[in-house]
Amino acid sequence: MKIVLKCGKLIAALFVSVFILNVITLAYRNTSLHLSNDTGATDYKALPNFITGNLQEGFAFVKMDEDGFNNQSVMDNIDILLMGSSHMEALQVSQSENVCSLLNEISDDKVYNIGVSGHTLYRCVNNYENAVNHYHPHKYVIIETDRINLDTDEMRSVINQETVTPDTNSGIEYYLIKYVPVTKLIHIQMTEWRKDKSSIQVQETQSVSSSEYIQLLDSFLGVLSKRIDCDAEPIIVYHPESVIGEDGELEYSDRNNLEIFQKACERKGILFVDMSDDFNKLYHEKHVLAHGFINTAVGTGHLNKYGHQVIAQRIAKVIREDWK
Amino acid sequence: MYFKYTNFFVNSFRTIISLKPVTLKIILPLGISFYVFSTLAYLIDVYRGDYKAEKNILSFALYVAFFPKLTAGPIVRGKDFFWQVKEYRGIQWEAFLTGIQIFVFGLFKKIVLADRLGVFVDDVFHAPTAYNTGTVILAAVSYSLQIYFDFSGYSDMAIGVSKILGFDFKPNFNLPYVAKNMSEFWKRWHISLSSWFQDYLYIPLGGGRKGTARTYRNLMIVMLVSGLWHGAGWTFIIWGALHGIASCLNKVVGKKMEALGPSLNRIVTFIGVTLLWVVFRADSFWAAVKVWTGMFTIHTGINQPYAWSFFAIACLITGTIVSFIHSKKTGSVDKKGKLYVNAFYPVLDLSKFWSLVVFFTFCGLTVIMGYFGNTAFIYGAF
Repeated sequence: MKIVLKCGKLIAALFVSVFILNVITLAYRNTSLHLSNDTGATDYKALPNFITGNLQEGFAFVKMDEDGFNNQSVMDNIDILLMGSSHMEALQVSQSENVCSLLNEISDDKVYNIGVSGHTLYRCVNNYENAVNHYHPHKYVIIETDRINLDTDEMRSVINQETVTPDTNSGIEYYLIKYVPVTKLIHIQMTEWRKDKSSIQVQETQSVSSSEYIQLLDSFLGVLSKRIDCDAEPIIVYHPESVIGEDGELEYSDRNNLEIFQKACERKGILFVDMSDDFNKLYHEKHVLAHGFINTAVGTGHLNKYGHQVIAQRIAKVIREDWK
Repeated sequence: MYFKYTNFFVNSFRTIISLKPVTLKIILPLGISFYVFSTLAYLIDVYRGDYKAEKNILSFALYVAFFPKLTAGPIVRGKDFFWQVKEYRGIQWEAFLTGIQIFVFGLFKKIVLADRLGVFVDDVFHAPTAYNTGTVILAAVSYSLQIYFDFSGYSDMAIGVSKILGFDFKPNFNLPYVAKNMSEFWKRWHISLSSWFQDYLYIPLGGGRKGTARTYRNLMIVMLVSGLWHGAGWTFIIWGALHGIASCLNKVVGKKMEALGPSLNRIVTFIGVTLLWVVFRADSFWAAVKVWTGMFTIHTGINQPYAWSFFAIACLITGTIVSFIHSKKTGSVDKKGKLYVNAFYPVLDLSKFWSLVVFFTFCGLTVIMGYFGNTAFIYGAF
């Protein structure tokens, strides 16, 4: 009997502490569950009207719109559609500071953001046709990427339409995260730990100068230049992550393929915007970096408010010049 | 000597005769500095007749290779260990409950505080000229906190695991940053090493009993050897030498400094220790000079008021205040009858419901707030 009581007390205490940890998680790092997106514009999206909390990377609380994307509200008659990964999803900065809000502010266009975490360039290119067909943007579709050194296998699977959209609406993980938010945070932490222990290295592009790679890249980007029933032009915005060298100067990784990528975009009629010069200017004039926050490593991680600001200004400028 | 110092001495000699440095591929055994000092202490104690040589090879092997303390100490003395082996009573439930709490307390210090601070410190020490004055100063302070939380965290984890297994070790840290002078700092920092040097080097050299000049000489020798113990590199030797000079200065002006009051002395000591940690952390002496220059010249650069630094400072201040109150309550005093602040482990009575809730919540917080990147123990490298 005594042991039963002791075990009961232990389990009850565990429940109370999990409850407390859940409350803390709501502020510290609360991201939405991913729901499958029937439109195919993205693989998945957040819960409608979900409020995210983030004190782990930056400091921000963001309310998703009725459709589960990071916008103040759902809109019709979109001029510019923003696609991309967690950088464009921008849960690390307040809603008024992200590229989408800033573009809505500084341009006369109606800009809508469907950036979702995990949507690298491969996913965006794969979903491009569905996104354009669903939203019918009048002017541009802007795709954000922090990587242009692309993996040939990933490109092939997009070209051959072999990518599988994951089912995110079921499974133990889904229900566990739904009802016990702290489990997601623990899961993320453990993944980080395992990743470090196994020392996974980013796969470098195979034989970057080979004609096979260039051909593959052309076919991959060709998906964006297909004439769909829409006038919108694709723009790829490349925002490379930088590190500070010992001499205090910015150094960019992932530069090997820049020229190849740039030329491939030209051939396919895609506007390509490289943010490196803008980031350099920002750094030299204001001593500010486009990535990173005061609670993370300097210059690494997601775009911060300065990064969003510079990208929004540059996109506005590019659009003004192109529209003439 | 071979494992740890061969590369250093060979390359120092090669540099003197203008030859390029070479790196011999010598794998440094983990925790070598710690178990060498443990066995040295044992040999000296037996030689001095402090206790009899251990006849049981398994007990001796356990003493040298007891896994919780193997990597980074504490340097446990034979007289504190062998009797526990003889009177071993196995794993006890009460000791388990205490040990697990001490372990988690140490884990929090390590993965939440030290490792988070390490991210910022690494960035700034890599390119100090890129940052503004305030950020470089914050990075230096952050390193003081990082090395404290890292090493004392490890010690706590070692003490906690040992407790679970049925062994009691003395604390290795006692709030070093409340020290009012350098000699008090060394009584509070890495206590098992400081007391080792005192018992087996400083006192045999004559300590402070053979005149002023001999005292200064002895202090310098101890600090230089301490520097060399920490690592085979010039930065460690310079760090040891600077600590030696600081300890001598303390002997010269210590009495006059007391007039400034305890609070100001604590601040001055913390600033001194922080400035010296810079050379300990830097890759070279000139890299340290860059950081010092960054701290003492007003210049622009990246402003990074790193949030985890302020969180760690808040934790340190809170812990210190709680220890002050606890010491006052328990009537802890020094030789002069003045309040002597002692650290203590905030061990809860886990038979109570709310204590269990607090403990589980603290465990959860440690996991969700921890940094799981590259997290080697700093002192594991020594």
